[in-house]
Amino acid sequence: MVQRESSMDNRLDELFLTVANLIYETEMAHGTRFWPFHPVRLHRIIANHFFRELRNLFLCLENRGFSINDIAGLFRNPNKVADYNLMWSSVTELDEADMYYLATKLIEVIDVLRHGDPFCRSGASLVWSEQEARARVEGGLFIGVDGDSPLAGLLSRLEAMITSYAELLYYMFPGFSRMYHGPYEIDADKVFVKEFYDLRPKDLWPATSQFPFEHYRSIGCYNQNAEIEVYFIGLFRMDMSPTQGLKKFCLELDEKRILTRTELEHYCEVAEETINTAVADISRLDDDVLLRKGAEMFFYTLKPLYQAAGVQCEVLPEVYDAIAKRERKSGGFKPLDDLTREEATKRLLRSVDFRIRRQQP
Amino acid sequence: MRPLLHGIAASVGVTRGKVKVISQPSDHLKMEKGDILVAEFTTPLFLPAILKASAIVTDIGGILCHAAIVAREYRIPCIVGTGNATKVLHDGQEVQVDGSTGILYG
Repeated sequence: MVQRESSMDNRLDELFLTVANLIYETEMAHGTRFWPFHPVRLHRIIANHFFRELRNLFLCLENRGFSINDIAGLFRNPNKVADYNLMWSSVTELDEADMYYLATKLIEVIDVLRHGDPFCRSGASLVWSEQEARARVEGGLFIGVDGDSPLAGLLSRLEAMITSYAELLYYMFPGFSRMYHGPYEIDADKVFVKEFYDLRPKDLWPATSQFPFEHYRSIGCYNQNAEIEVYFIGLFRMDMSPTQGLKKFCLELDEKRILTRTELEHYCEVAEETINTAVADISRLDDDVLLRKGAEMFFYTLKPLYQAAGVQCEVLPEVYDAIAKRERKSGGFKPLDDLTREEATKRLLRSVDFRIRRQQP
Repeated sequence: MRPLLHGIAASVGVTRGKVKVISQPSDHLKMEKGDILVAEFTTPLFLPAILKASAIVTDIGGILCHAAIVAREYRIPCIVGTGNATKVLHDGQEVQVDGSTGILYG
C-alpha cells in the first residue's frame, strides 16, 4: 500500500485537474487526427521509458545529497517540468509507488521554481523574487516605446519568430526552451519577462550551432491596467496584443544588450532566415527520423540532471526499439467531439490521474 | 457582408482578405502575403504559411491551441474552433475576420 499524505493528495488532485483542462484547451486530444507526429503519439512511445529514467535520476541525485532546491535549480525552467506532466496518461508501466513519488517530486520542483504557487493559481508565474525582479528592472537598459508602435511591433515580431523557432527545435514543446514569467508588480508597472533557453542545442540539431544566440530575454514594462494571465505550462494570455500597453523593454541576447532599432531589424532577418531553413530541413525528414529526434529531445532536456548525477546522457536503446515497433501502439485519446467541456475534462481526468485509473476495472 | 461562421475569438483584430485553405504545410506555396489562412489545425511546420497570413481561421482548437498562440504572438486576428471553416470556405473567397468577436463575415 502506498503511503500518502492527504495534503499531497490534494496537490495531485489539482495537478491532474489542471493537466486535464490543459489537454482539452491545447487540443492535444485532437492532435493525432491531424498530425501523426503530434506529441500525444510520441508520448505513447516514450513516456514509460522517460518517466522511469526521470525517477532513477531523482533517486540518484537524492542519494548524492541533492536537496529539492538543488534539483529544481538543475531544471531551471518550471514550464519544462510542467510540460512533462502532459504525459501522465501514457505512463502505464511504473508501479503506483513510483508514480506517486515522481508526481510528488515534479510538483515540489515547480513549487520551488515558482515560489510557492506551482499551478499559477494567482495567474502569475513568479520565477524571480520581488527583490530580484525590482533589481532587474532598476538595473536594466530599457528602450521606451510609448508612441512608437512600429518599434514595439518589431520586438513582437522577433519574439514570435523565436517562439516558432523554439517550436521547431523542441517539437511542439516550446516550454522546453521558453520561460515566460511574471507579471511582477513593480511600482506603477506590470513587468512581464520572456526568456528562451537552449536555442543552440547542437547535440540535438547540429545545424543550430550557427544561430546567433543561445539565450533570449526581454523584460517588458506594461501599463498597470494590462491584464496578463499565465497558465501552468507557461502559456500566457493578455487582454490586448502583446505590444499594446508596453511602455518600455530591455532586450538581452546572451550577454549582449540590444539598444537600437537597426539591431532589432537585423535579428528579425536572421531569425526569419533560420526558421525558413529549419522548416525546409525538417520537412525533408522521414517519419522514423522525426520520431527518434522527438525522443532524443525529451532526454536532452534531462542533460543537466545526468551531468549532476555523473552519468552519460543518452537515449536508452529500448526507446529506439519502441519507436521501431510503433505500429503496435494505438495512439492518442478517444475523440471528444461530442462531449461537453465538463464531460471531456472528466474523461481526460480519468486518463491522466493514475490513482483513478487504477481503480477502474 | 453577413456572418458566415462563428468560432472562438483567439486573437484580437479585424482584417479582410482572400481565403486560402491549407491542408498540409507544403500548401503554403499557394499563399500570398495578406491571405487568410484557413486550416483544420496548425503545427509548427505551418510557419511559412503563417508568416504570409493576415489572419488564421481553424476548424478546431481552444484559446491555448497552436494557432491561437502563434496568432497572438504575430498580432494577427484568429478564430479557432469554427467546426467547418475548411468545408464552408473556398480559395479566393473574400472574407472579413473579426478576431475580437470570433465571427467571420463573407
